Amino acid sequence: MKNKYIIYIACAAMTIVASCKKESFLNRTPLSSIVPENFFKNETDLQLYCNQYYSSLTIQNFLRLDDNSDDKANATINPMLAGTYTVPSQATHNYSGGTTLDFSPINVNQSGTDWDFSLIRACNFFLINYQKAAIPDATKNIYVGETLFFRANDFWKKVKAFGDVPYVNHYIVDSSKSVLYGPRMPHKQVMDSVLKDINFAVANLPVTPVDGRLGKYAALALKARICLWEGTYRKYAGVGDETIYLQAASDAAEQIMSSGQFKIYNTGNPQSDYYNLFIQDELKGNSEAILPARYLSSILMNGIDRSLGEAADGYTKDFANSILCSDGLPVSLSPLYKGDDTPDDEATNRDPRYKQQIATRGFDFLDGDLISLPRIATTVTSTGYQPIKGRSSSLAAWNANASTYDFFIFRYAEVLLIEAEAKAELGQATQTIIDNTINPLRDRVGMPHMIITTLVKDPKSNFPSLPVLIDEIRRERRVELGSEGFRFDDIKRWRAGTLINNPNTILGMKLTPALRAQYAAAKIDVSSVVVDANNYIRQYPSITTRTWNDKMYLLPIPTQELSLNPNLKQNPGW
Amino acid sequence: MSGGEGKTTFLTSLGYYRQDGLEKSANQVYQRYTPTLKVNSNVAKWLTVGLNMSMTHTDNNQPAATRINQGGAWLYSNIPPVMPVYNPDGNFAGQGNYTNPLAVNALSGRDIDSQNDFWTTGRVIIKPVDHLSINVDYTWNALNDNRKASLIPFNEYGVNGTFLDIYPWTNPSQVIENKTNNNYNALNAFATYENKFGKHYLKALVGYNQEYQHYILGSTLVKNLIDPTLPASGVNNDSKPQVGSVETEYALVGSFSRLNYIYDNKYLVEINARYDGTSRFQPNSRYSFSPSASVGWNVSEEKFMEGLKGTLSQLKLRASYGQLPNQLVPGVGSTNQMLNMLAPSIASSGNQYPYIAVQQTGLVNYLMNGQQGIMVAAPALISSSFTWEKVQTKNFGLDYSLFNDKLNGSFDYFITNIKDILVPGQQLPSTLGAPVPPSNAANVRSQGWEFSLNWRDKMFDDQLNYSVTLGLSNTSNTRVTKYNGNPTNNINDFIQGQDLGNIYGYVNEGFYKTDAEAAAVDNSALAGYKWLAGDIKYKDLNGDGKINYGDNTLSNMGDKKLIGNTTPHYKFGFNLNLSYKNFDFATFIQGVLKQDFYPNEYVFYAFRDDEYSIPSQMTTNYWTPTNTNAYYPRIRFAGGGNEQSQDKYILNAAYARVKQLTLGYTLPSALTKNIKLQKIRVYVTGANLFTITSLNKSYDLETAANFGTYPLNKSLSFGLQATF
Repeated sequence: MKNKYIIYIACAAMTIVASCKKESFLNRTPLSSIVPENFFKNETDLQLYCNQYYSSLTIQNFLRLDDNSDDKANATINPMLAGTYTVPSQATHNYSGGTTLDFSPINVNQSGTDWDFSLIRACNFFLINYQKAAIPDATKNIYVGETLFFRANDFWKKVKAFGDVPYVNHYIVDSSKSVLYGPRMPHKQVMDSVLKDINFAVANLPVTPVDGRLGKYAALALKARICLWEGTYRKYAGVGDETIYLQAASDAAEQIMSSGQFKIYNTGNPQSDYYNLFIQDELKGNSEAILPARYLSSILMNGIDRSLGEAADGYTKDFANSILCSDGLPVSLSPLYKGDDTPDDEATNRDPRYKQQIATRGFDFLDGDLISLPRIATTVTSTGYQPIKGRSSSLAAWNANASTYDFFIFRYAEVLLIEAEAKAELGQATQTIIDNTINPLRDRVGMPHMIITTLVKDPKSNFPSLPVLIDEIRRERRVELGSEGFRFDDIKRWRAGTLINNPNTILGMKLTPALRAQYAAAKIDVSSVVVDANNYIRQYPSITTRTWNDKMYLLPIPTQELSLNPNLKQNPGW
Repeated sequence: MSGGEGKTTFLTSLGYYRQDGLEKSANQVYQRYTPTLKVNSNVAKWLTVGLNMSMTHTDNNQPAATRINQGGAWLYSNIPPVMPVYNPDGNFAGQGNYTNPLAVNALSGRDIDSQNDFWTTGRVIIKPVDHLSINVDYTWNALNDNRKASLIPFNEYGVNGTFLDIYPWTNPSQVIENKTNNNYNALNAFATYENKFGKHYLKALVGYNQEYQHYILGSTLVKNLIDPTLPASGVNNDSKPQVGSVETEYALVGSFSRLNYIYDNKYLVEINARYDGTSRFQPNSRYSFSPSASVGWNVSEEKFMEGLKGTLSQLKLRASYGQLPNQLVPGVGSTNQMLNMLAPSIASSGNQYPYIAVQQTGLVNYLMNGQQGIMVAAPALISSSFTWEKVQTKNFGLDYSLFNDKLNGSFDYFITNIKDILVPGQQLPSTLGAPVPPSNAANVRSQGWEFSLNWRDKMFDDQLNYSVTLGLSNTSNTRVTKYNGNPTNNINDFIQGQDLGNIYGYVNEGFYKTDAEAAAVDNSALAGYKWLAGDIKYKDLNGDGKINYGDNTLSNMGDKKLIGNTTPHYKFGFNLNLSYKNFDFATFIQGVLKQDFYPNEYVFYAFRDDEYSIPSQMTTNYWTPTNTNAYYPRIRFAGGGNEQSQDKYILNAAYARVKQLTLGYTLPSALTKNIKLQKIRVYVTGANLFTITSLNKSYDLETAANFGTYPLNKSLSFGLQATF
């Protein structure tokens, strides 16, 4: 009997000892997650990986876009232009390890202006892995093209924001000290690499891509945009080598134009086509859409239409003044200009794009709620020049997050403006060029053509020393692309920061005592609205002008990044 | 019910509990059923087998509103007092974005959760020879949870019942179903040898345990129900229903041994050793060896103490040193709540493989082929090696017993070092493009003492029995002794050499008396608006003429300074039990005597974020030109400048609460015997009846001071206990 127990004990003891190290019991690997070792096998894998980049595309959704420029004066002053912007202590990050990426309007334009390299890392991780896929090189190169498109776009945004930037073009880990603690690469050198990346994308992306994905023409549109920016920047900052970029911008634009695939949206209604273009439920198939951001009912919707109505935004007096009269002459020269004593006068005899992007009498704010007097002193508008691009009267679109209006990512009109400006900067702008670029935009809204030989220099021009042609092309760009988020980038590349010193860039509409009486008669309290000696609304009563400081051309680098990497030097003036 | 015959005994019970929710419109019902069965049999002199089985079944039926963040916690801040609940025609009031939360509660569908928690433990105890006992037990746990939530569209009506629109946040109709299956099993085996050789007592234990858990979550989301009143996921008109799943497992093994030696009941020694392995770390760092030892001296057993035996019946001195491993680092198992908040556990049911880089999947808010793009992201960075967190404790203590054991208690002093805490390691430049991966990069230290005292006696001819227990303890702030992830000493992160829970803020010097006085000070770093009379005047600590926070670092925090710490101090508990004849009485009081609390949210500050929030009643004592002695500054919408952390609004969160109070009466046995019962007792119990605190009633420190959690109930219950 006792022997039996001893055997039991021995067995138990052996089990205990034998199981002290049980590797097979402890080796557990993910049962429901993807690991890189088993990924990047085929085209679908490459495609699924590249999908994450798409949320970094800049969408022209109008919401408070251009608040950071001379075009608009929001109720909330832009801290950079007000001179109150301070150096951030820490970089903010948008690490994409999570699930749904943030595509909200607040984040648009930010991934490159924050000192954040997560998208760059995602691109570089692709580049060390995609070769594992057992598919033809041409197919692989489509996704390499997408990757390089996004890497180029992100580095360009960083260059615009910071000037010189650390150029990380391969995958790094926490032990990659020489890169992590390396210096910044000079602006021009980074942009030369950006151009190489975008050229690869142009050469390898398909002419007819899968719906929603990047194709050759989207890549060309980005190339045109980047090259015009860099070319004019080099010219006006005086750093040299601009011709190659201006030429590349023009070449890219011309490739898009000569493809015959795109046309300015024009249904023959000059008083409404321009306005209607921005409240389209479907931009897929629209002749002006090179790449749209689409929204579909109950699949993906947005709340922009309503947000635009509550953004307390407004164009500036300077922007309103820049819109031509219907005879093609500026307000300073045109006999048709009726002055600005009333909002109705000011809108009379103007380029139809005036009434199609600024709310005037009779604009339907929402479901029959017609605007009579500009809704100043409310969240509808700050300055009285209420932006209405992308705003409709539809109750359905106003409903919380239920709008399906599409937005542009690349719009053909911008390409035409790039071509006109690049050619003008190169000294090659002929009347034919203008007829193929500026004049189709004028035709849509029924404006007289721009004729080079009859152009008269605007005595009130923002750019008195600029040749009249370039000056007028810049005006056309400003008006056509109003609220689309290009203006501050334009100011940077033209080295035109001092534009914001103009008091008109913080003034709103004229609010005469007579007009005040009309508000009073309608029982609307506008007593809090402050005006200057000429009765123009002072949007920021605490200041009379803003003062440009050249340091504002570049953003400061967060202080913590400087202390972490002694090889980083702060941008001048910060 | 319990019983038994001969060698076998059994115990069985059934419990039922039901509670309704606090909001009438929510119609919330929580029910719990708890059947148990325990069987034990002494099969032979040397063999005992046992089986415990228990199940907890819970049903919770509540409005689905919580799924769209509009449940109970949402109510207090979103019912404007000027908005009626109902229109005169009986429809719910409210429309558009600002719908009546009561309507959402009542009309938008249900969230039904049903759970079965099965536990079974089988046990075999073998005593093959004298002094030796072998215990083997095996535990199974199956936790199954079914959760079904539906969102149902409802109409909103305006004046005179005109249809306005469909409430957008619950449209289209949808059903979400989550089913989880959590299977856990554990094996424990240990052998104990215990013997006495004269004055030498020896006990040795050697054992092994292993645990394994397998977790499966399956979820479906379908939209466009065919019949919204029938929220079943199979009855839908959804062209693209969403399906998700998570499956994970983890395994743990450990072997342990313990040796106890006592000489003459005077000198005590205990030595422990553990060797643990986990599947959560990589093979070369998954094992951890943890020793511990303690010594004790029963002073009262010494000859020289014999004279005191009558008064001092026991006095024992103790000292110990030990280390315990923690692999959940520092989540469950780590006792330091603050640490958990700062560095949450890296392991969860959804991520059991912290050392393996995985690529997350998700949806992109961008349409491709008419559908949202699905993405596979880049993997996170993983540190090349990390291992167990170690909790090291040093303890010195004594146990005492006096006056024929009427008075007894203990005192302990302890020092706790938590080492190798898994936190993001040394900070790296942003060019890395990924969060710095966690590594064993931080240590913290705290110390404290604990004291307990119990007095038990009888009075009035032994008719009155009573006992009083008081426990008091204090733990120091937790000091960060090692951390290099914050080289700039940013005050919003761990700082080496500083305490966790520190509150940095400004010194409040009252309100600005005039607009001119306010305009003269540069407060632009705190808020860009124009500062006016009635705004808070902060003290310019660094004398630079401006009020600001510098760069928020320890060496340059502008005009901020250390103004408090959120660590609770001097926790106490008090028990009183009385019985007199057939009556019995018991109460339990607990509290914290010292704690700072900084309420930085929109219950404390009116209109903190915007003009839409509903101010709470306590915010009405605000500054006006005629009420310059107010508690709060002038009212502003999003008046961030006045809402900086500051000494005036560090609240005293000390409290004492009567957690429980019970009065019972047992019926005389002469009466109960007539109806063939052994005992009948009726009682009334109150929970959380009284609280003493200076804190506003919007806050409750027991629920982590969080106004957004379900409030603690004050309850009164009546009961009847019968023994057959």
